Amino acid sequence: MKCIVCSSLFQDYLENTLSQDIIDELNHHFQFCNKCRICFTTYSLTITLSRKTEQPCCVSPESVDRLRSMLLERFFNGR
Amino acid sequence: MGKKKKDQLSDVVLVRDLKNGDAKAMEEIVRRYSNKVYNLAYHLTRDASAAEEIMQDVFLTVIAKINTLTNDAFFSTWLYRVTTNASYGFLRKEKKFTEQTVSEEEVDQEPAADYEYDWSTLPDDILLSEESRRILQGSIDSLPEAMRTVVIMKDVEGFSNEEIAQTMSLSVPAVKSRLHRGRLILRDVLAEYFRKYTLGEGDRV
Repeated sequence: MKCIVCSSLFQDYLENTLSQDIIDELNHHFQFCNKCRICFTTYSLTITLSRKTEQPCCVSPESVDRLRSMLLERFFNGR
Repeated sequence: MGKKKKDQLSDVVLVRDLKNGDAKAMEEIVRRYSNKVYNLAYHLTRDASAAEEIMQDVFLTVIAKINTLTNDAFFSTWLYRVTTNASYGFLRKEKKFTEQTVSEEEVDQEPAADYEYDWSTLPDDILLSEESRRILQGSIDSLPEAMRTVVIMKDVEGFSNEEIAQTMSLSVPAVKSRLHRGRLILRDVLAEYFRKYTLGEGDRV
């Protein structure tokens, strides 16, 4: 497997959408290609860090209540 | 119809009921989607009050335009598209966002990468430091719109490739391509930062 092909498969590899023979080929490539192994581990970690960096936020219950009231008023007074 | 029963209804049924003027269906849609709409708007604008305003506008649009939705099965992706459009509209209005159009050729360009430096072995307190978070957040914000929306929807909000494709009117391969390039750009920025950090060159604040 060429490195450029290996790199193009990272996403499918992470989403577990590859066939077993391709997975085996990738794993084999990682054993012998340090560049691709590093590239993959840091690619994967970048996704993890993106998720952790961007903290989940939550709309306040008061805001949802305000929204609901506003929509109901709009709803019953004609759209 | 009771609230519990509405909880169990599919989006298609709720949308049909909403089109028929059922206020309970609208309440359930708000319960089901207000947080998702708010989160997406918040991560695109990084402004809590703007996100709340956008959320209100999005649901007002739902009420006003629900009858124009021809395929009820696409309700959620239509909702997310209204949300992303409203978010970028806000950013343009606030001049916090300059539209960057990216050709497919540019999207397909492989970013330069320091493949030889393995920063994945660094301890968590460095990987998750305030500074590295700030660098990564700034890099996400700096991505061209085509990549930024995809990266936020996929890696932050957890949407599927299919949902993103429908929301952005792209093919799934186009979504995957933009996502891959976006991640590579972010990875390169982090590689550069952590390499400098370990060499003691980081401009730590």
